[in-house]
Amino acid sequence: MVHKLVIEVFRFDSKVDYLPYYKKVTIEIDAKKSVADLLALIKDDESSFGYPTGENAAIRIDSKAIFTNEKIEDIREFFGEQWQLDPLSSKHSTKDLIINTEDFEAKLELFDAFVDSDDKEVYRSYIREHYTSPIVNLEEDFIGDGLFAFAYDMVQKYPDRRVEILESIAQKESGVWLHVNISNKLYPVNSELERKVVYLKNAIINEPSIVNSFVNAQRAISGGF
Amino acid sequence: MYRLFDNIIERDVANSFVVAAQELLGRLKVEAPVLKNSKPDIATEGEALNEEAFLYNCAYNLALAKGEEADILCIEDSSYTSLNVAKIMLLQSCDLRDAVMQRLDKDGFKLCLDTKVLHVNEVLRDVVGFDKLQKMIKLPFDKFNIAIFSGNRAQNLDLNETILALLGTNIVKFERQNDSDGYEILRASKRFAYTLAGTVMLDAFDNAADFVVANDARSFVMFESHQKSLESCVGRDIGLSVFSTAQVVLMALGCKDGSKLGLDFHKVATTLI
Repeated sequence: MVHKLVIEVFRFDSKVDYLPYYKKVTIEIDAKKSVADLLALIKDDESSFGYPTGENAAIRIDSKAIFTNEKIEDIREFFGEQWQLDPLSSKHSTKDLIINTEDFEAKLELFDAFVDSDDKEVYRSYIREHYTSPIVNLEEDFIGDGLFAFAYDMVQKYPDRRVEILESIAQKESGVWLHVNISNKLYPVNSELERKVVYLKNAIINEPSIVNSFVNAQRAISGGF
Repeated sequence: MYRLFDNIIERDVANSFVVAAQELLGRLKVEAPVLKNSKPDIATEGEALNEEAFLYNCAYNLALAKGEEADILCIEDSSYTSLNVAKIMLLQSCDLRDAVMQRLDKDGFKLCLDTKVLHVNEVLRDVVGFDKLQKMIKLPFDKFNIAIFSGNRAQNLDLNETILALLGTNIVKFERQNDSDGYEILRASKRFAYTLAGTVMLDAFDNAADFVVANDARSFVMFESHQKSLESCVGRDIGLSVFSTAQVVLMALGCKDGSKLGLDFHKVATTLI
């Protein structure tokens, strides 16, 4: 079945543009195709159009962070027939929907001592979580929701590193205490990160060897419940 | 039979939820005495620090209501979410269930997960009925644009909108209506928390909202009680009142008594009454 979409596409070239703008396009696409196919169709008409590709390619549709391998038929009921396409982070856009992910990659250095290449791929699958948190735009040193989700996975995989991992995300100024709920900013709505963050915070509170003034204060509050 | 849960988070500053809901239920002849000796709602923020205490408090309240053969009536979203989430968590995890059962046993209670947890909006729909409610409206809100802040809540959103639409309000859409209100990071960074909340309020303001409706005590605290701090943080005046749905319904029913509306607990002056 063919699906007709009216789309406003974020356009920006960091080399020449001062401000981004939106270009309106109307497209007919087979509902069995994916968002990635849709982006390729846009590029057929606009050869300079840039969009992320690959396994963890993600963009925003109507402000929801979504992987581009989602099928049109699975998402059309939710998003309707008029979409606004944006990069995961407009602040990090280099060319249209492509973003500079250096800051996301750099956060992984925190666990460089023990993660392997497979682990790194798992981390990259959390790119949506990283750029969806509003704190990324407020605090440069914020470790990021992608790394919190990854930290939970690594605690399960490397139990001997548990304390080291927990300690690395326990700082008041940059750690898990700055996490805000982004469940409904993801498509589909996903509260898995919330479950992981609750686990991590509880684990930090219950790990007596992790000591800093903020954690101690949280411990005192926790004990009063 | 209902028992009104009044031990809400931030009760000292968000008591307007309790006052307005009690007045509204009284006017609608819905009997809902307070659930006495309840444990406080420590919300998802408390859950993140002490999961067992969060579950215990919720389980205690469920058991307390069961002992009185009553359903729990929640007057705001945080307690409603906590009690419902706790029920699911306790159903799903044997370990958590066992730990909570042991503590309840010491209190002389048995774990009870079939206690119904209702939201005041559900009572307006299912017990009072929209037809009756509509007939009681004396002061429709058809001249007002309102911004409904939903944050990350996923339950009862349509119902809340339906009730407010019933009063004649024009509901404005604004981009930040599902953003964080900042409450969850208030202890870690007041500056960031106020920035998040202030950005939401400015978005509502810039979309011509006359006031904001927030049904979560935590959102109320951020948007209303801390509004002066938000203004300092975002560098603009906001001056938007924040009400619960129950307060708006009460006003539509003709209540002009600020005390009965719970406005004694508000910091932002309102010109609505």
